[in-house]
Amino acid sequence: MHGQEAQCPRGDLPYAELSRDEYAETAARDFVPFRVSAGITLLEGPCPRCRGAMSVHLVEDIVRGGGPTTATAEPYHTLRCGCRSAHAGRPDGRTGCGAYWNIVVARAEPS
Amino acid sequence: MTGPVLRPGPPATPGDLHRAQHREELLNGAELERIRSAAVAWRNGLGGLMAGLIGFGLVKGRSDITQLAPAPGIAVGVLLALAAVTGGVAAWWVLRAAHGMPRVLSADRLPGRVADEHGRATAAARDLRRGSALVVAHAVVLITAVGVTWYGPARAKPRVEVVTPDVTACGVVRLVENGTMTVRTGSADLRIRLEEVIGLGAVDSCPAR
Repeated sequence: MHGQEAQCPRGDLPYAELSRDEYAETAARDFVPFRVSAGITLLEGPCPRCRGAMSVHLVEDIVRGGGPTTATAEPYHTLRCGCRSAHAGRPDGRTGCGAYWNIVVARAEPS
Repeated sequence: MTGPVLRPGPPATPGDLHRAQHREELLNGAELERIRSAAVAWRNGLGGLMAGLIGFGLVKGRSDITQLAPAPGIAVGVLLALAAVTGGVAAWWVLRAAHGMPRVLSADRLPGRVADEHGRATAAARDLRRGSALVVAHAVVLITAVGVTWYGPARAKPRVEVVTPDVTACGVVRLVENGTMTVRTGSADLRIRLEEVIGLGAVDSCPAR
């Protein structure tokens, strides 16, 4: 997942790892999905909390080393704010304002 | 054909956040580098293993398949051909996983960085898995070929055909002493006086009786 360099309208909000029900509803309405290639979907839209522009790549599988692990296949994706604005109190190595939410990417029903 | 649609998911928990952060760390930038490093390590390890295996096979036991009976000799030939194919394909896959294969792409078809690296990383992971499995298969085939060469039945001993005015005998010479020759024909030994022999020659096989 990658955030995108952009001006954040609510850069004054302090960093806080929190989630609210309306974040998922807002993101489902505001984000636009693009199918990049087989197994990769790009979501673009504003963070539901700070409204900073962000983009996220959703991948179906991922390469990791080591032995097998217990996989949990959730029917949803967890997104977190990826804006690059300097929200106060953000730990090193993190991006965004700390907001996170769950979203379901579904295939559109044929009309 | 319509694209994907988005719906609100269930309430997110801190566990969801930790999983997302972990996924982010795995995906961000290092995915391709990680699989390439793993493939190089596998390439070196498997190369050393095969070198040791081949070295061991060369210094122990019978090493000439012409000393084998015809059927095991053919089997060893087939196994060695199979070993060459599996070893070659395995080397191709492992090397491609470790170093990639340069390609010329139309610039306007180049995917974004994340999609590009992720695609190459997953392809390299597939190559590495297939390649390492084939290296194991290659080792098994090679060990089998060496085993058959060492322990397979030897080629039959040379046979002679001995002709006297009374009899024609074909078999393996067991003993020559005191003017007689003992020839094993089938399961019986036949004693022939040498002074009666009017013909003697080596043959590949004896006619069926």
